[in-house]
Amino acid sequence: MAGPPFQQLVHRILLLLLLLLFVFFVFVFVFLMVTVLPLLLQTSMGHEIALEEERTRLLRVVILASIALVAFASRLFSVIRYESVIHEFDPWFNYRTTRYLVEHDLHQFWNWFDETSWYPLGRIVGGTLYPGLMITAAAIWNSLRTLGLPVDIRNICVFMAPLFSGLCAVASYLVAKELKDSRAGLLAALFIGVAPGYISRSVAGSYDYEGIAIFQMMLTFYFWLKAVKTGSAFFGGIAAITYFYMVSTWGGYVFPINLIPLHVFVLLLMGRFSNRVYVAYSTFYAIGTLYSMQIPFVGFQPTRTSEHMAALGIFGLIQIVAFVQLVRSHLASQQFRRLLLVSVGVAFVASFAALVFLTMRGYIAPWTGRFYSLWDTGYAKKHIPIIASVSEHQPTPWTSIFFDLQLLTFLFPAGIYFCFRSLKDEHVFIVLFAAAATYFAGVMIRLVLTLTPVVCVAAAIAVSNVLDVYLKTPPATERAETAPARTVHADRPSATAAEGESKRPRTASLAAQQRDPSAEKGYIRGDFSKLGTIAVFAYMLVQFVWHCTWVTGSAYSSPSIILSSYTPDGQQHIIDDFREAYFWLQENTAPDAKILSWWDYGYQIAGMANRTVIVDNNTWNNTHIATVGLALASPEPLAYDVMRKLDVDYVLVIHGSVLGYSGDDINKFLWMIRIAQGVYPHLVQESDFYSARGQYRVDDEASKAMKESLMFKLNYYRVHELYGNGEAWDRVRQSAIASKNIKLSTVDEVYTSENWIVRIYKLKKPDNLGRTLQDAAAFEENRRRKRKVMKKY
Amino acid sequence: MARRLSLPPRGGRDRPLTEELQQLADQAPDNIVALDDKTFPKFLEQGHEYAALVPEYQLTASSWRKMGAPLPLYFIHYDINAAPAALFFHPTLGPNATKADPLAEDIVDFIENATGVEVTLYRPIDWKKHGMNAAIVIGFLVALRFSSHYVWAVLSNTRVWSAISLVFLLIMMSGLMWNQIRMPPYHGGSAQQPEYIAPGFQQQYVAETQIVALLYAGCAFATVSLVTRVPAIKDSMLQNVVALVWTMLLVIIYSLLLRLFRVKNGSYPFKLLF
Repeated sequence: MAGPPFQQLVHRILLLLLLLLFVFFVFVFVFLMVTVLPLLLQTSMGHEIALEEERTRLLRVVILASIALVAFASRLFSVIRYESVIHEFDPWFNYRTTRYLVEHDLHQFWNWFDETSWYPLGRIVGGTLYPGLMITAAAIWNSLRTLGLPVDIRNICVFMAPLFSGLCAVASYLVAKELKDSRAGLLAALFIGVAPGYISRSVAGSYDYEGIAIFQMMLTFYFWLKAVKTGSAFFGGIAAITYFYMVSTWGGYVFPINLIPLHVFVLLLMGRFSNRVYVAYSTFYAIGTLYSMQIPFVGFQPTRTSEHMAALGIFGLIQIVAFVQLVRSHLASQQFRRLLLVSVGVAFVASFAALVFLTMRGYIAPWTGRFYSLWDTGYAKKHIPIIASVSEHQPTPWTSIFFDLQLLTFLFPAGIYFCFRSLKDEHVFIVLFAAAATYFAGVMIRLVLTLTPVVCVAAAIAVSNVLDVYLKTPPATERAETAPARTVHADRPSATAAEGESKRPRTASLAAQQRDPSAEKGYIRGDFSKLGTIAVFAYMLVQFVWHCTWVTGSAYSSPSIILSSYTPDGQQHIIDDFREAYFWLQENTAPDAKILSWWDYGYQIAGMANRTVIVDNNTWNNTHIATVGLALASPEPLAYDVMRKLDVDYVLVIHGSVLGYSGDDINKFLWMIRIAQGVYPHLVQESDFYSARGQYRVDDEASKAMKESLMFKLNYYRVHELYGNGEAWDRVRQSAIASKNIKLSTVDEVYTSENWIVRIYKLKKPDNLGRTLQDAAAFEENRRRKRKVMKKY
Repeated sequence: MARRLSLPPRGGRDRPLTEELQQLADQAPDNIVALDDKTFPKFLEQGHEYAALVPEYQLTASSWRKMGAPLPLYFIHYDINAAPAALFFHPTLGPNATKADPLAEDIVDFIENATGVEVTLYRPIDWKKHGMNAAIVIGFLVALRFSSHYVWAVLSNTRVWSAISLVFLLIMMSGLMWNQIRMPPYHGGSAQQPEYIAPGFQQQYVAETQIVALLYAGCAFATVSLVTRVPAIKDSMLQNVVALVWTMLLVIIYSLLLRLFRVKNGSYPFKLLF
């Protein structure tokens, strides 16, 4: 083990490196603005595009690589401040399964039945997870091993998200380049590299699906746009493969598989349906669906659930439309056009009716609660409290969005406006992406994540438009007058691929071309306004980068299993109660001990203490979780019975009142009660836990049910001893605690961590005389008292 | 006209009152007990467990009777002119004390919660409502048939769609969904001294989100204008001035936005002008 001075030195060096990278990045940015971009500027001049692209390729590669590096580096705060450790809750499960994968082989991984979670039910891990993340990590681990670099699997897991964020910057570059040009691409890469909305889920140590899924999503979108533009089955197939990769990683794949059909449908409504779109979507859907069904967890869902019906329906619809168009091209007549419209309409209505019928008969599963609650926002709170209880599923106030996107918030609508001005097929896609993603981001805080990529791309389009106009040198002659006409052909290499198109869409896209801002007449004449505007934007962009660094450092880099506070003299004080307690469990309990805790800590206990848990963060069985809630919310005798039936050995609670740690169990307790009440309404009633005045309290005014509940007792047992003769004080809820009269008869306190955050109790064995444990305890108490009395005499 | 649903207390204390209510309920034609000025205090002011104002009251009452009235539960109504929206004499059992207009389903829920008996609601088909809906749909289709030309012109206009999309984006980015879900007041403070910015990072007023949406719109508009309007100006001097104006406008509005954000988050270190 390296000593603290050495660690500090390493930290200093890393910090310095980070700073250097940051400075380097600012330089690159300025360089980009001042030198490269004017070069790129003449792109509107016909054949010069290819030449310019060629000339700046190396430069672009260097800039892109440095942006990827910055994206990687800006996610390392947590490693520098704490250590290379897996964060939070879900990553612990992913880490544990990855470890299993590298220790066993893939075959065993698929068939892994994990009996240590969801005791006594167990969990078929291979069939109930998205394996993409683990397989990717294992693949990197194996290839490094082959290269002779035996890296610890934990380090690969820790640095996975930053690595893929760098790749995501590249994918965003590609998307924005398809929409406008490489300047917009570089800006988009820059924005996504540092935007806190994405960093929040991809800092080092946050080894979770989202960290790599956003990269996969952007890559899928890139190949999709490419396929639509070129009408190439090859790109459609590549899009399908990247889509498959995303399906294997994240349940959020439902977003692209609904967005892409929506794009096709809107193009159809706009009269832009073409052979390109037909080929692209048909290959994408057919290959993508067949591939995605290979994931055991997905299985036959693409044919059986409502989430996938839009994709299937659009696939059917375009087959009909394509067929009708084919027939029409052979039989051109006025009446036929009407017949076509009617038949497509009838087919649409009929298939929709069939879908509704099948859903009602139960052949197609309706939208699952998780997705349904996005539409009916009150649904989760009423029917699935387990979803509503998670803080990242709350709606998003405007401050959160601004915190995550700052400058980009207003550049985003501006960018969408520019998309409307040159409304090609790919711009339609971005507009739809934007509309859907803003809605979802508004409903759930965690979905700001899917909004961030489109915001970055749109904002990049806006900024690059500003740069286009304000960095352009005015032409010496009136060459600008003739330029637009030539742009139309040169700017669109796919024009030849569009042979099969009908007349209407082509004229439409031609008209769109002429409204393209880069081809617009007019330019800025005065250097003064050029300089002023560019300076203002440059300053705001630099401030944006500063903002991102500040947000990442101050808000998103905490591992949450290690806490830190600062002593008055500025020294950092590390609070490591969680790991301390989990290590205690590992060392001091039987290997097959069963630990009961609220589900939030299930993955951590399994991952760090390697002990069996009753429930964990994979909240698949609501009844089981409600049973745990029941045990924690009931008075001791009932709780003891419940826990005996679950074969529990230890109870673990998270207690924040001593330190002022607000994410503790007492603050989560109301949700436990609600979830328990959903299944056991005759045993638990939320209203019983409020004081006479309807408040949630922990002091003397707390209700009887509250004071008698196991959760309350386990949390505040003996807390008053910390305060001597004074009154016990709860630093989270800022109130006194009714701690003095707590007596435990069914459990023994076995462990309390340094700062009292984790408290572990051991269940007593049933009384060997068959008394209830309360009676036994009361009897013992009496005997002790008598003995004392006898001694006196 | 106010109608009330009542639950007799569980204890034996009010036994005579309960019997009296039973008699009244049996006599009543629709199973609803009518109270007057004398009986109201008698049944309601002593017994404290009497409950909500029920618009769909007769339905619940008749459903209850159809089920054969498994528990002693009485439906009462009382005739006063200025009835409050909801009277809740029921502190221990009512989950929906603040709800203004409960549906029969809510009442059924309420009864189920309070008595533990499952109630099946027999709701007759509301022909009037269905008729109205059908008429509206048919009317809409007819109107569409005759104005289809204009409707098509509007629907196929890119500007209309871009306006709709941009407004949608702006209000969504400024926290509309939060307002929809959390139902905050329009502004805080009092009517004389309104407070438009909610204290607290995770709170917001409706007025606040509207201000934010306007600020976003202002910034976005200035940016777009810099690109689309300024280059078209032929006169060099005028162009300089207009570019400067739009840039300054952008800076000022964005500074306001940052200022607003600093009000919400005291420790936020960045600002532009003020």
